[in-house]
Amino acid sequence: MSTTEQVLSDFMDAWNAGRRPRVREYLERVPEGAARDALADQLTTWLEVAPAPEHSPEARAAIRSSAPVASVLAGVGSDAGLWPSVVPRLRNRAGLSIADLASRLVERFGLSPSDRSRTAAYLERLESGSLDGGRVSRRLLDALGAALGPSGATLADAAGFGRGLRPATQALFRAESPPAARTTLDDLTLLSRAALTPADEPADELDRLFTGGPDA
Amino acid sequence: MRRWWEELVIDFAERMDGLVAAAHRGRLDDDEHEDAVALALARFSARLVDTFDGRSMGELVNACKTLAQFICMDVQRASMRAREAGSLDAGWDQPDGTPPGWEADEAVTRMESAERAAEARDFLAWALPRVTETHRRVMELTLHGAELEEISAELGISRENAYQRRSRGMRELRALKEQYDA
Repeated sequence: MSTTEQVLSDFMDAWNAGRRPRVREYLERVPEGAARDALADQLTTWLEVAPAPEHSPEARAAIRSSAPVASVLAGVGSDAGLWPSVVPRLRNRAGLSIADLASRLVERFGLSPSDRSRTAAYLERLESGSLDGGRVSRRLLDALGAALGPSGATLADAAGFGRGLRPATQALFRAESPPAARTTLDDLTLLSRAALTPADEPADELDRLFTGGPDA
Repeated sequence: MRRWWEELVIDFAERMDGLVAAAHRGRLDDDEHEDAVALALARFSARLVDTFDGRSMGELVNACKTLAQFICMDVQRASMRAREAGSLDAGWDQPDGTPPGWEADEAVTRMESAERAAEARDFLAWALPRVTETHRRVMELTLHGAELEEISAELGISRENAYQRRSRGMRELRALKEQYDA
């Protein structure tokens, strides 16, 4: 009887009993190389067909509070999803500062060197969760993926996975009294304010990459 | 709906954690592993919310496995860039030696193929009769939740024999799964 057979069997028993066995710990019980690869393959097959174990309420609470699950559950309802928790770590692992990443994006998209600081500001917003992930262009996500590792689609889902779960907000308006009559002076006041307010700067390529929508 | 989704994520988290770990086999460190699991759960959730139309748990499990493989490659790629260590896809080659496809489009295509695969219950109904009889009985008892001691007692075999039959049963199931999914 080989060690691999026993380790596989121990894992299956622990899984069925709801004891939450960790695959990584079981893989470490066999030598690296062919034996570990064979065990990993068998564990994969088991995990594909295994029945879901009965977990106690305490076990479910522990799963809920584990780092990956907690970050996913916390990301629901925000426009940035997992980005604030995952993107900074991916960037640090890639050995890049925000300034470095900004420079790469400027070069990748042929932007002006003077756009580096604005690019860095956008990246800071992305990592802090104050950028709407649904407005970021696919081209930018692919470029970020090329620098950080995950594909553009993975990054898109990391931000947007919880959008479909947000309850639709409903606005209720009820008029308490009839609207006050508008005067010509009110209209002129509004028009003059509008004329004196400076127009927003037209969106440039950088703005479109970060806020122009997936197809920008 | 959110409460239902949260419970489903908790239901799948352990399986996803295991599939991610089996996919990278120790290539990722603890932090990388946790990020890979979180990213895989997010992608899984996105697919679940967008496309769930009463599809079975078995199909969702199939989708988990493909997600796990591609997410691991993504997370490792970032670390290898930082360490400037060899080929970005070292160790991920397919059995026939071809480099793995890790482009986003291909990952989504593969995930969609996995989602169309029949559920685990149908697979087992097809596969178990094809497993060698001595191994099949052990696998049936295992899939019903029996631990090794119970199986040894039930079948009147030694622990060592039970270990062997389980292991060989799993190898047969794996080969059958590859046939079934092809």
